[in-house]
Amino acid sequence: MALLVSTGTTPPPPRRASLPPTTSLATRDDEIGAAIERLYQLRIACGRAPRTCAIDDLALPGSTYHGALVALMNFRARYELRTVLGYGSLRFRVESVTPLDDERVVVHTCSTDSLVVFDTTGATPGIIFDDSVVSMNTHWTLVRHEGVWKWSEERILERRMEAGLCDGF
Amino acid sequence: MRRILIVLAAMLPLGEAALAADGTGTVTSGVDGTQIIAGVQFGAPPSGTNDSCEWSPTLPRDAGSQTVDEVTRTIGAITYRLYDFTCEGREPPTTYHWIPEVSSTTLARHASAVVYDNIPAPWGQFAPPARRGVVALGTWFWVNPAMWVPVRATAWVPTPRGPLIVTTTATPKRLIFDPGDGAYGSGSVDCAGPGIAWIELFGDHLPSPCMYTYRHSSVRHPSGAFPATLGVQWHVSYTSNVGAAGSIGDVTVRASHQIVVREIHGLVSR
Repeated sequence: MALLVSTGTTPPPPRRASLPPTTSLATRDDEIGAAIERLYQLRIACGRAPRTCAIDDLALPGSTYHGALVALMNFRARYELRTVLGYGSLRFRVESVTPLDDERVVVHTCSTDSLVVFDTTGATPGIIFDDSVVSMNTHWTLVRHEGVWKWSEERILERRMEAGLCDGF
Repeated sequence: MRRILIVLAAMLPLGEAALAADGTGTVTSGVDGTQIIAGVQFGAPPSGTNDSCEWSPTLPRDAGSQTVDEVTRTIGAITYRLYDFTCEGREPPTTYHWIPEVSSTTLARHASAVVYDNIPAPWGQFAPPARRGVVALGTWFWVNPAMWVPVRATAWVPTPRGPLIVTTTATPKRLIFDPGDGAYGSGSVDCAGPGIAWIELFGDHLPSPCMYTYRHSSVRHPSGAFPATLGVQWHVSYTSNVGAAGSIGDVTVRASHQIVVREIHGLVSR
């Protein structure tokens, strides 16, 4: 599977040649690929509007990732820290999908996040709070909860404080 | 008996790493997930006169201007100071940034987060191979010597007196093997350096400084294999451009291996 998604201002590069999937079920790949895209889009929306972040829609309630996201969004909301459309991008590619059982999969993504976090208490877009660029290899555990795939655990395998960890972006 | 160099060690994914607040502890696998303070810059610091960009503390301005009249702000437990970042030929030429007011020690700890990211996993090798251990025969263990090199990260922040630059370095110290045989064994062993890769020429009886001898078969363990770990202990230290330097502590990165040990009985017929 080689799902490549780019959001923000940077145009996406051409779709990379397919990587060997670790599951032979194409339909499962498609389903998980769509789920991951939806989850990243929700996560980006949370960055832009922490107060209205649909945390329960993207993270399994009670999971470690849910707890971490609640803490982060509360922090961002308290200090008016937000990402702003047009400043940076979040690009990711699904490298592999490994089913654990019918309701759980581990998804390996490579992502590069250059979204700029602003202090939006003043004039638009605000004062830059964090403009670091981070690329990461991550294992996400996805759990199907009430028929919807949600993140339950994030395990960072590799992190670099710059772009370039992901081949091509 | 012939030992085979191909390694069949089973690497088991473990949970999130657990680093103690003081920087010591055990990274079980992957990276530690330590948060990095926003506003800390990583990589090469500004080069001075040749740099076309400049950081300078923002001065209070009249209401209605682009920036706010507060030049410091506490976010979480950290105080940030407002800076102008101006680059010639850029549009807009000046942007405004919150930069954390941190000590060299704090900066070093955050640089260590990036260092931990780049510490390689200790992919261990064994002779005999992990699935073919033998009672009373020394098991050699080693890691690729190419990984036995320091790992560094440089972090910096602008300050009113110029950039504060800190380089944190993790240096490999010891290879630590926990054989996983509990009460049947003699506990962990360790050695300085990456160990010696076994080759057939060494035969079966040459000792290695990085070696453990199992005394019992792993059939005694419920899983049929001893849950061993092989880790590399790294010493983490830092230096700065303002004279501050020190030790952050040790961190051990471990990987799990299932070691199968069998008893082999010889029969001599005449």
